[in-house]
Amino acid sequence: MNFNLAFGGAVIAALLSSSTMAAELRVASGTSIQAVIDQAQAGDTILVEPGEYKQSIYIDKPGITLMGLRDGDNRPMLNGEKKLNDGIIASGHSVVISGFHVKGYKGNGIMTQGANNFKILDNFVEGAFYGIFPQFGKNGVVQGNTVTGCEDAGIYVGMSDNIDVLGNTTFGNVIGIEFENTRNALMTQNDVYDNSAGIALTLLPGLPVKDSYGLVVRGNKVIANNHENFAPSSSIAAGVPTGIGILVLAPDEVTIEDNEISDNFSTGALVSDLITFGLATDPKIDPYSDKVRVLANNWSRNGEKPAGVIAEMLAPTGKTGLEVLVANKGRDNCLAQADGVDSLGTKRWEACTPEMSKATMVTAMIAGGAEEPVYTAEQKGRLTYLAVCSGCHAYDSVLHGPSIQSIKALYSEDATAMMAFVKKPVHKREGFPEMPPQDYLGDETLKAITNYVLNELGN
Amino acid sequence: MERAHSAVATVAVWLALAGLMTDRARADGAALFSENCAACHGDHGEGSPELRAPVIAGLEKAYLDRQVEHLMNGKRPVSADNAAAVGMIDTLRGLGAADLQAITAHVSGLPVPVLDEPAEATTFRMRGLFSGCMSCHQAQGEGNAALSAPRISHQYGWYIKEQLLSFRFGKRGNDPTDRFGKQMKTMAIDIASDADVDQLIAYIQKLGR
Repeated sequence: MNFNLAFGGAVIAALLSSSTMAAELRVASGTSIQAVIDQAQAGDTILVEPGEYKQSIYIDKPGITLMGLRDGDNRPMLNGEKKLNDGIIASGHSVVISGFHVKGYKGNGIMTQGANNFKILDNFVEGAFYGIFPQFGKNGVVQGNTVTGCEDAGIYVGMSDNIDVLGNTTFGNVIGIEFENTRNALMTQNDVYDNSAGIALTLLPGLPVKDSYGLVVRGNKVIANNHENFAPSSSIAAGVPTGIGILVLAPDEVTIEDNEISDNFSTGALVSDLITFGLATDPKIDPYSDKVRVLANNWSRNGEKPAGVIAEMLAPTGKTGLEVLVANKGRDNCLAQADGVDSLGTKRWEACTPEMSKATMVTAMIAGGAEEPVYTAEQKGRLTYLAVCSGCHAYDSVLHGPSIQSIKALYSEDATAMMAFVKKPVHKREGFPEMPPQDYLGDETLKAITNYVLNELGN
Repeated sequence: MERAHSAVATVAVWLALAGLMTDRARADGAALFSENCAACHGDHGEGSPELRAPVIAGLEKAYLDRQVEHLMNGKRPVSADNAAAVGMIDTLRGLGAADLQAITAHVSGLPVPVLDEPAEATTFRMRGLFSGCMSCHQAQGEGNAALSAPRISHQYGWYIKEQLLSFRFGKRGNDPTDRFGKQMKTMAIDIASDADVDQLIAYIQKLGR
């Protein structure tokens, strides 16, 4: 008996010690990826064989590398068949997601939620609402992906810090690549064409992050972004004018340099403020774009056929062919003076100086990585709101889902009904994207979120 | 026992009569409307700015029923100097429940009119502000029955403004049992300024044209 106990103890000790070493696990073609993730330990690598996977995947532990194995052109395909909402959702820090073909999801193709030190590499995402969507993360990279067919942004970096978006291709989306309420980020060597708007740098109201700065857009190709806007009618993306190369809406310290910007019908770059867009509703947000530096870029044939609201805006001026259009009362903005760069609204802009160049900047990421906090149950309500809910819900306007203000009005007396809805939403609003079920978060977290939204959250 | 039996018989007779009444009333929805409502709200429910009558044609029946009920029981108060509204409440009170049902069924089936009030050109700013309303009233102001939010497009600007200000300044949406009115009151109070109210009205007037 004693011997058995001692022996059993040794086995357990051996198991424990082996589990602290990173393992390599394998998912056989077409079997459950989630089942292998559930068995994995922090630090493990999961290799997924080529094949079709009709699954939604959740990674909630740190240090997981999820890698698609290639066999020639064959790679693992996650297929939502227009029935499933999310392809891959990761909330663990230091996650790596690479080598997948993700298609047919209604919500997010690949999303990180509050994860720091993430890498999203070499994936092909087709037709989601957001293609690749790091939300509320620090220190991450999105590199070498191709994204198409998204009803909002192909690559959407939301409320994040120190992010690199490098060498991706985005086409046929409403917005090619967007930095929203993001600080210190670099977008470079991307190929952005045939979207409704190519690149958007925005500071949106009603979100928990109230500023956006330190954005560098350098060395991208931003070409012929004239696609018809196919965003759901209520979503904020439906208000994005078509035919715009780069939209700057309210962030500060923006550098636009050495890009090839051509054949965007409405204008090459539109620099605006939140007042012009009727979005200046957040008292904690500075609505103006300050320190926007439009340095030397290669501009050609922009603004030849202005569309929609831009056309109406320009009609009284009789101008077309604008490289840079400014409807912004911000300060300390500058434009590199060059022949053939037609602009409107830049009267108070200064000439940029050579030392403003970001030509030598290599990365916006933090040397040594970001901290990887673990949250307590009490912090979870707020944190999950930041990492999950605010991806679609702003306080007093419609980002994609209804405003938090209206949700508070609907459920102020019925937290139970709100929690039930969040777990298993019913599509009630035509023209809005369907809300994905959040039951994967678990009752404890959902309760904390409901309580946070109804009782603590303000603008 | 005898008494219980006669009570059952009475109820049965009453139900049969009510059934007959309902059938008769339903058939007369158009006539009842014409007799009691059309003088102000127009033959097609298109309303009349001169008579302070809003468009009612094509609104959801559930919404119309709720407003009729709330006007009669005071959950939706009207000011004493609004003679048209005070008169309407008298008219409503003079009608039976079945007649009111017949009228609201008729009104909700009327085609939605297209108004051509002059309005400012739509701007980015207006759409941005209206974003606060879309959560319930939808992108084109068409309303959302699933949320009990009425259509607000195809309505006179003066009327939308009057009602929005009633919610905003605490004249409407005060009854603790008026759940939807309370929701709207919260939202109306949160509009940043009266200038924004005017921008919103201009935008709503343009919807659905």
